[in-house]
Amino acid sequence: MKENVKEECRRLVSSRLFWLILAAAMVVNIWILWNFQGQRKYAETARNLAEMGVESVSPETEEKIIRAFAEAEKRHPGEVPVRNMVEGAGRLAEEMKAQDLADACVSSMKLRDQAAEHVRKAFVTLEPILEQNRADGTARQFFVPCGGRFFDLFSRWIPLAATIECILGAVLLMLKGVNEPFDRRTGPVVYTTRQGRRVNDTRFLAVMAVSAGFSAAVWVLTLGMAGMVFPVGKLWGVKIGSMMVLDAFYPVISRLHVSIAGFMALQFLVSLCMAWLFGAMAYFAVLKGHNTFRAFGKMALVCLGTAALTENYPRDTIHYFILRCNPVDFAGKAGRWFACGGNFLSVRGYEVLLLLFWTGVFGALCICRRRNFLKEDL
Amino acid sequence: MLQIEHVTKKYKNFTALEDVNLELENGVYGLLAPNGAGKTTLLKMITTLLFPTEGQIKYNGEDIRKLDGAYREELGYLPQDFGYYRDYTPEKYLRYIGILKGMPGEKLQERIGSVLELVGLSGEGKKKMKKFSGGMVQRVGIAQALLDDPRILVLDEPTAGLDPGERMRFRKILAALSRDKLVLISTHIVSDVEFIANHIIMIRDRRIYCNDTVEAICGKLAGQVFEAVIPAGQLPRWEEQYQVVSQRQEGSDVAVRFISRGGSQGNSRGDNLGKSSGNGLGDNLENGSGNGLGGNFGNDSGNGLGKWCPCKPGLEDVFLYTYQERA
Repeated sequence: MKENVKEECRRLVSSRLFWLILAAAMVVNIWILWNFQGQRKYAETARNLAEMGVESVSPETEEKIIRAFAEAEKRHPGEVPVRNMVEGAGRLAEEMKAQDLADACVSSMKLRDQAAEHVRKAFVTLEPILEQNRADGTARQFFVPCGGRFFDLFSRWIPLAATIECILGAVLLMLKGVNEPFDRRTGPVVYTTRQGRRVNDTRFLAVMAVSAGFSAAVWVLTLGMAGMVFPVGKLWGVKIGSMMVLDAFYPVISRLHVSIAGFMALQFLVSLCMAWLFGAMAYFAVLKGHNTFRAFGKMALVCLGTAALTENYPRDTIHYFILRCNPVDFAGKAGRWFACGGNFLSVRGYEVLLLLFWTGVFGALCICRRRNFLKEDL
Repeated sequence: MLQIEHVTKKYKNFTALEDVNLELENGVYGLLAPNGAGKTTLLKMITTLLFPTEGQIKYNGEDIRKLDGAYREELGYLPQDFGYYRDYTPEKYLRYIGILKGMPGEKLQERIGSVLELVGLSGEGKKKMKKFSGGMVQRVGIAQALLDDPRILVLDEPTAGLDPGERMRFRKILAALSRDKLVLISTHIVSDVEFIANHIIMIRDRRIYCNDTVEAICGKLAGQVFEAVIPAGQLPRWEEQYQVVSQRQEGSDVAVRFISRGGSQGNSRGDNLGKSSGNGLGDNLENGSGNGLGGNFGNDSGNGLGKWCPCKPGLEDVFLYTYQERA
């Protein structure tokens, strides 16, 4: 079995598809980084500040930060000036109330009635956290290494792009790996070897392993390139604290006492879990009918349908939040996973619970379909 | 060794095979039937790709479904529609199949070399299969079936795409292998199995029609196969009356090989052509009377229908006799 999994992994990694998706993913990510290259000067300034010991916004450092950025600042239309951000950060750190964040959240998500009420209630639970952050100085750790766009790059675009690529990679590799005996008509030979139809189990495991490698490659290469374009140096070690304060209504991140590098590692782990989850969906989809294109089409339709339903569902009821617990919406929260939980359900470990739930659902479906496959005529 | 007991295969409203009973031991078995008769269905059930609707298949007394991997370990299968990886070399392909078969590394390496040599591809082991002719690919298919030296070798239309030289080589390989194996070859090409199969199994009407040695099967048509040279103009009438199995133009005449279904009372020539009683092989070869044409052959009555010579029946004659009238 071990030898077979290894062999299947070797075959997948040496396949054209693997390298094609990886190359395509890299092209997209390079393009994203290219669009942010104007932020390089900001990153350098922030690194220099950090090296001088300025790692958080305080009344003493405010002017220093603003002066340092004055030279580097080349504002894009609609971008908040560094001065405003720094001054705002100081005020927010001291005066931010949970209800203000709740209002921001309600307005941003266009919530009404019962749904809006639910969010306001949920945000009340944040008050003690914010209070604690103020007391222990975590709130003051808010740090603006660059402009808002730079912050967006790491907190949104890289995680989102990498997650979609990891999911796509896992789905395509699963469709190729598991359905290959039907696509290439090698089934009669492959399924009459000693392993028989259990070859599919081996292939499933191999795809999961290769997907992990693929996801790691996407994240490492992307962050590596980002690290080269934006040499932030020791800023990777800055505690994120409440650095997401300025990102509208996502302050729950302050629950995580990790550095930026640690935060990115967590993002990678969730992204990998999402890739595995969608890989399992692909396994479920392709094992019936054995048609790769149809399975991919069905998956795409179901995902688009789910996204459309979530987007257009009335936002005046609490059911909206239950609906948002679907895997498609969860994948779309890439970069904000650790922020969303507190807002919507106020459950600690919301991300883990959601992943476990859907893994259970699709795990059971895959087991049923596998059982049928072992019994069906080929 | 392999027992097929009351096996029936149904697809919704269509019955592909009905109450098939066979007992197969070491040796070469030719499964002979026209396309669509159910050969592949039977082979797929033997190879566990399909499951019987009724009945069971046993290997050494145990149900092959229960034996699962232990049964397939003894199995080598060349399917009719042999899919392969175009970018693979035969060595790489065989290595992969060997791993799926659970062969240990050293043995696998050794066997790859020997099976490639056996099928005459030892010099081509490192070339990509996309550059291979159909015959060469088929030889790789045969090599994969033989890779783990299986006890049961199932070959579905194995000579499709092979040229005469390759066919001869293939027959030699099978002849050499058949001593300690059960080889089951499905084909509609009679010559593939006529000289190498110990047993011929024929399927008709979704059931096993006969299962016997080549000699015994051919013996059922003894005295009923003839050759004659007739004027070309008589051929249509001749074909109406007899089962013409082959014909060859010889100047203005035609040399025909035919099976007479006529009884001994009819001379089956001239005016009596239409009076043949047609008992032939009966409904089943086992019951064939083989009464032939009595004393009329060898004579030329001068009515222009030529001279009849009795011939030794071949498997092809039996095949055509069995299936042609149903075409």
